[in-house]
Amino acid sequence: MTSVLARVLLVGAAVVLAFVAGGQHGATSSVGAAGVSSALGLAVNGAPAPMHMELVITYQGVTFRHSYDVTIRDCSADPLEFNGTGQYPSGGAAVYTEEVSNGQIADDVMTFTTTYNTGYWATLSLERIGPDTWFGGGHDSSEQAFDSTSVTTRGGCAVLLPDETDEQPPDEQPDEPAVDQPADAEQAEPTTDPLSVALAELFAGGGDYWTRGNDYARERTGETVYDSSDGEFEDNIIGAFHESIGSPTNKTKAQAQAELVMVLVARYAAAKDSTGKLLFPSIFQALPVFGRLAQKAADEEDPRAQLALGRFFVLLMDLDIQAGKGQ
Amino acid sequence: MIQMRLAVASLGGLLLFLTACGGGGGDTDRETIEGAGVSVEISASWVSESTSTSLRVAPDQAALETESGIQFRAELSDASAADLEAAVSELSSPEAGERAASLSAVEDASEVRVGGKDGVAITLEETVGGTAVTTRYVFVNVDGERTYLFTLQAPSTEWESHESSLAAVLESVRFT
Repeated sequence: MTSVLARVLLVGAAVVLAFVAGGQHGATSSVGAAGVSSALGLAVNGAPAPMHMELVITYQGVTFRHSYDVTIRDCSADPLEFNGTGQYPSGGAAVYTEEVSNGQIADDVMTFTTTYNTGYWATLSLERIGPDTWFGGGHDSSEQAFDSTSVTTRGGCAVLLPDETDEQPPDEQPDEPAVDQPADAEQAEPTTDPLSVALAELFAGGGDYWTRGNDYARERTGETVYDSSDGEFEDNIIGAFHESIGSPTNKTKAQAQAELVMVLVARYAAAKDSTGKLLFPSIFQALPVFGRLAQKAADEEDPRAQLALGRFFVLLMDLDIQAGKGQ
Repeated sequence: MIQMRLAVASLGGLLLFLTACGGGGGDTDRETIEGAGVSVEISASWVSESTSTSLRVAPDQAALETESGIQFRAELSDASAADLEAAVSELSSPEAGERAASLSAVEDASEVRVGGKDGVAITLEETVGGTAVTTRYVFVNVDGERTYLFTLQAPSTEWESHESSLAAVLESVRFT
């Protein structure tokens, strides 16, 4: 019996790995601004909105990156609906192409199905945990469950602040994607969940970290932090962190959130300019401290470590930006 | 008049006493040492050790050689592949696990100034080699390329009594 079960598990694992390797891994997606607006009950304009999504899946300590370009059909709809295309890997030539269908966003939860050109498919469900970040899991066509997937987004529906909703023309789009606006996290609905509060602190801490980081990266490289980052470098850090928390197949919420922070930390730490210089050298140097803080933050009972993790990240990011501008 | 003479005499006596005791010459008890691109002022009785990328000082040799001892360290990062490998291996090492399990945030992250440059400090308590150690990590990005990690540490039971002397070393940092 044990042997049969072990075989079933091994076959299952092999299928999952094949799916992951083939780029058919559960493609989580996100909806930055759209999810925020949904959560806040704010008005949004009614135009279709393009949105880019970058997915990072960590599976047994190995990370996989997919990218998607989708269109939200009507920003005034509830739920929001979207579809589009994608590919694996996220950068460079596509090994597999993907089609995103049945995309939906409601109450800070996004779901969609991605189907690969091989016929394989995965359905994903993600919960919004930041203005441009989502976290969740899903399952694929062989009923394998996924977890530890995170997505960051650019673009999407414009978010209007409550006192602006009656003033802004419905078709006017902001210059910058609404996903970059700091008010998103700061105005999120109050929650009694300390871990969610801690994560909100990271995304709201000191303003809009994502805009500041990307603006700085663009000044130096012409690209975003994500596009300036070294994928192999990131993978090493994320894999090491995953291992450090015991490589759980089913993560607790705290573990998943801590890992998401480490994905962000790794991404910033690995961002380089065209000459190979790090864009955020202090974050790089602080990796061991981040690692231990994040391990502690993975503990459900220690939201203070998670708060410290968020603040530390934001302050170091600003430190590197200011020093870099003085060069 | 007599009172004034007594007062002058008393003041002269006090000055003589202070000079004899070195009370007015605190600088004579301190020395400046350099290493890893920084200089710091330390008590003449303290010991130090330096390489091209690190400078370590401690009240005595035993503390300098003890992982959990009272120490001030300055470490220059060259952001090399070796640094990355070290960070990766440290992330998943058993020692890091021990430290993480025992970790608590003593002070939240905050902005600081070191040697005229901006920095970020965070103070944590962790178990190192079985000893609870309070450590203040201070990161300074000097010019966008050179970044330093200053570490002020002491066994937690001794942190309160040594925090000010370690902080004084940090305040004396100059980038050379």
